[in-house]
Amino acid sequence: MKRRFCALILSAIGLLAGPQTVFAAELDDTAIGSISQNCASIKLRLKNIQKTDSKNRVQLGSYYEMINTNLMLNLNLRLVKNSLANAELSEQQTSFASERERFKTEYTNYQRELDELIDIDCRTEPKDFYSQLEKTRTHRAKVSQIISNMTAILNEHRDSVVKLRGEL
Amino acid sequence: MPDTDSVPKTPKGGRNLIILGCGAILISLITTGISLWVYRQNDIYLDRSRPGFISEGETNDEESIEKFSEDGEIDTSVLDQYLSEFDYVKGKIDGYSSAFSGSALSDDSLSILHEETEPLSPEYAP
Repeated sequence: MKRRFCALILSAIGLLAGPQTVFAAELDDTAIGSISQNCASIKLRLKNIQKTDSKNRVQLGSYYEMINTNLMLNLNLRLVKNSLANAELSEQQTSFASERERFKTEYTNYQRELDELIDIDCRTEPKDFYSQLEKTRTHRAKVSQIISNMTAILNEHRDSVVKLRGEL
Repeated sequence: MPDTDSVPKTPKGGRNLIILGCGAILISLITTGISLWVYRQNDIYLDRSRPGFISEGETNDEESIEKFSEDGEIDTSVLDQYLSEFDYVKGKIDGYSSAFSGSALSDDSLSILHEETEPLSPEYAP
């Protein structure tokens, strides 16, 4: 019992310390030098990414809203009114709406990290900058994952509608 | 001997008005400072990419679809119409599938060089 407890504690410490150890080992002098040297161009690139991301978020957000409210929700309501309520389609609409909320939250988190990254003076603090860059990448990956989840739900939804059409 | 009584005095009302103006500016500066401090200290963050925060010219809201009515019958032609509208919007969404890909923040993309030729984080390699 004691051994198991110790193993659990050790693995938790390993999980917490792991990423930092990897980071410290991986950021070499060449990288530190290139961050300091190319700081201005890196910042410019990040600001361009930030601008493009904002536009993409607005467009994606409006398409998500359109497909959820104007199409998926209304189809379910129409099916209910015709006594053809479909649990699969309802579930897909609920999952999509919930992922949409996650998309908003995660995008905001990502933007906050990106803002913090841009605020760091990479010329004088390259290590902090790189550490923050890694954090920003993690949040960006989360946003990307949510977009993939939503696309998967939409694909399922389409298949379900085609199936329903065949049953009519 | 100068006649001090002839020097025009600032009317009391005028002086109070100046005090009031200065006080109002001071209070607004203090409250703005506190608000900014709270904003920076806490986890409050505005999603500036929401439609209201981005200029009109930067968005492209021309595309819109006809709202699928929640009333009416359900038959194959109705579902065909639904699928056609659904595919249109889905196509638009698919166009953004790589919008938040890792490559934009990769070391290569940001010109961060390393001693080894292999990229630091393979998942962010272009």
